[in-house]
Amino acid sequence: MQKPIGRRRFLTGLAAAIVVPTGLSACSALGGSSEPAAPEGAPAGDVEKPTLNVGVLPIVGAAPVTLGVRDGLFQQAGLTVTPQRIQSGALSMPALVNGEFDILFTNYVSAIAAKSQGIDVVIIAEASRALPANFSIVAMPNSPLDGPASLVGQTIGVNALNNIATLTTSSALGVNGITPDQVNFVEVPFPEMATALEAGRVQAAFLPEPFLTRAKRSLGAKTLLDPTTGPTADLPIDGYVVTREFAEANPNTIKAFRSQLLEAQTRSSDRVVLEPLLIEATGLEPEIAPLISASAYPTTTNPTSIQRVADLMLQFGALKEPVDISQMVVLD
Amino acid sequence: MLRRVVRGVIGFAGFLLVWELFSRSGVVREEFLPPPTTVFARLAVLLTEPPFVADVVATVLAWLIAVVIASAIAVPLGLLLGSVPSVAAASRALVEFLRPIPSVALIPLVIVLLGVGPETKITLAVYASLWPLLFNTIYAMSEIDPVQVDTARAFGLSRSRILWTVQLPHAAPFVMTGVRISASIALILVISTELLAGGSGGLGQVIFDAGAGGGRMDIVLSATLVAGVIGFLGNAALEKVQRRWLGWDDQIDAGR
Amino acid sequence: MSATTAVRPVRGPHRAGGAGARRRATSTLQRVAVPIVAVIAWEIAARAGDSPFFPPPTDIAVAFWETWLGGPASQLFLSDVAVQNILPSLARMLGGWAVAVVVGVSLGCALGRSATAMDYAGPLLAFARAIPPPALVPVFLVLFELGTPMQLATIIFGVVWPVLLNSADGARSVHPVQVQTAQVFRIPRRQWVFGVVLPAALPKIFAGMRVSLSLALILMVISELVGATNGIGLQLALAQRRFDFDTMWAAVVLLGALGHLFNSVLLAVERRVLAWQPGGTRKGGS
Repeated sequence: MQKPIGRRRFLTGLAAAIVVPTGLSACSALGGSSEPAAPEGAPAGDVEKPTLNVGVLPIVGAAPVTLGVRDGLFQQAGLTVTPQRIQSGALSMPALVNGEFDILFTNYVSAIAAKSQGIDVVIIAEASRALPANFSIVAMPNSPLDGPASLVGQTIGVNALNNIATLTTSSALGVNGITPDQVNFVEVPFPEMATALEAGRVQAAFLPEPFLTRAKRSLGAKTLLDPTTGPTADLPIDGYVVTREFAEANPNTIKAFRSQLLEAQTRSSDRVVLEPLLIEATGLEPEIAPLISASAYPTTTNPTSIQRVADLMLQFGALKEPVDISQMVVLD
Repeated sequence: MLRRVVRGVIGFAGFLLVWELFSRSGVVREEFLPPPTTVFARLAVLLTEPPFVADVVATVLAWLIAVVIASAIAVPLGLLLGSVPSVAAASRALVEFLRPIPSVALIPLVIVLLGVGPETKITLAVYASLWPLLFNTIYAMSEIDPVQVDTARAFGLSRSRILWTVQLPHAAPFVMTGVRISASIALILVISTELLAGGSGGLGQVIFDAGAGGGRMDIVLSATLVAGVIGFLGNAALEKVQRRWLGWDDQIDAGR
Repeated sequence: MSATTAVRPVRGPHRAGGAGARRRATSTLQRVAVPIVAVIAWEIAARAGDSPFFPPPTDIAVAFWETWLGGPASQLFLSDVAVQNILPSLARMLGGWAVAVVVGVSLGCALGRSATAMDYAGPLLAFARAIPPPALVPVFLVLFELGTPMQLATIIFGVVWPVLLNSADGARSVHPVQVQTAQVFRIPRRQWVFGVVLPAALPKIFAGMRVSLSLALILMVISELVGATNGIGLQLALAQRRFDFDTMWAAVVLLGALGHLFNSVLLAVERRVLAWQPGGTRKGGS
């Protein structure tokens, strides 16, 4: 297990002590039980907090953090970044609030929902935006479904209701004159989606990469609709957030993190760099890596652009009141 | 004894055979539901990889800690509630209200309080596994023949002597059954929390990673198998404890 | 809850008649006092802590009213959300639990009476019991339709074990004298099962049923994490994901109240069914 999993404290520490008494320092999963020390000779006067715990998901959008750590980009700015794995954006927000994570990679729908409920988070950098074919509504190759119009009355698998999947799909269906209540969205986890498709449990499925490429390869799944085209083209998907409290106390830290992240984003945009990175950071199979459609890793943070997510949420009932993203973004 | 083991193995082999045939029947793609032969081959490889073994150990340790903590809370509390009716009456509504609250609902709240480390999964496992043990202990206490207690009291035994010589021996078998139920619930909760929340390693995170990273069902099912084996071994160990140290139960039962 | 077996007047001296009414009033006060104190303490702590994750009970009460209540009298004052989510959830939960009880009792009694069968199936059952239902999602997806069938399967798989284990324990505890008597008199199989084994196992079966019932409520929530289009668990998950913790807590309170209700009903049934047993449920323990 090469990917850094982060602070696993006493249990994995104990596990390490029991299983590998010889000391398997090469494996960061076990070494993760101790906090890494601050880099030697770091310009400590500049950044307020030199060690950062960053909550990340093992997905394409967050891969540049892994690259930044691996290539020592954060170290150059005097930051020791420890990526910490977590399974879902919604569940990681509490860990940001209680200070266990300093910075959190999360989708904007979660961040905006949190903000609307009085959890004061601010966006410090964009992580990824949708490019064509990053997401698709797919069906089995032999399915009678053949386009957006054919989805009326069908069951569409999404990983979660009221998130980016249902919002973009609803928007794209709207372009084709179909309202969200003319289709049935049901929740199926992405890893299980191909099984659900093949078993006929859902007639169509919303899939992001790499599940999309995998489903195309294993099932020959065909694309019915690209949910991030038209009004949702280039939609910002996820970003890095901190609590407002943290942002106000650590402006230099955030500035340093952001500038190094942007470098990591730029480097990750090169497929030669990206493909091995995804294998390392997300556990992607090497044979899939060349096939997946990479999302855009923006190097600017654009509140107007992120506002579109909040507007979609309002439009389709995921928000009760408008949220002003310009109040939620910290820029230099 | 040997015959029991052989029969158990035969029973398990039968299950594997059904699974193998189903996986190979073509009802479902083998990559979505790989047969046991594939899964065991993968498992053999995984067991040589220290990170996987560390995850297994992380799960087992979290589980053991959870069972110990749950027992340390539930058994004394059960003895108290079971022997002091007024306390039982006073706490009843609260206990009954807390019990059905699913741990899944509490995950974000526990993360706020304890973070994403092993404390969270242990806490959730303790919360969920507490109740069967608590109720079994209360139940065992309540059904002790009052004549026995009165007799002991008539002979001038102190309250604590009665507890140790009459009540605890009587309650022990049922408490052990409670421990067995609680242990299986705790294991499920530890792995489920790892799977749903993650952050602290363990078999659940292996399952999540295998699903999210590569859709590797052979790894998912390997980890699931290991979970089953851990549960089986834990239960077997507890049964053995029950039989060896609480063996007098059968005689009491037969003699009544 | 088995705790009531503790408050039941099994101990002779306390049963006296005259003080009964006063005693009952005191015990009602006792029962109500602790929850009230707990709620007040929570309110004060929540207001002091001011965390969006732990709203004060008054806010939860408002969310509870807005989410689940406030409907017309024809719907028993339940809101549309309540009607569309609580009823399907409860139907699945009770249905799954009922199936689990039937399967668990019949299988458990059979295994409890046959050492050979137990030898074959025991290890497999101990193995299967330890498998977390969320890990079985891929397998269930292959086997069952999304929605109610898969949710029922999840609930049944999750709750059958306590009933099964307890039934086996209970059936094993049939008195040897009864076994011999039955053999001597060659009583018919049907009578043996329904007249001897089941009654002997009943107290333990009920104990298992109670554990299963509270588990069923939990499994109901877990089962609605995949493929759900309605249900209390889905509403809870949605509220959780949009960080609407008032509504999430309202769902938690509803689950707590439902669990309490079901348990009380089952206890009342149990007391009636087991009333004939000498000493109430005494035989269940050993």
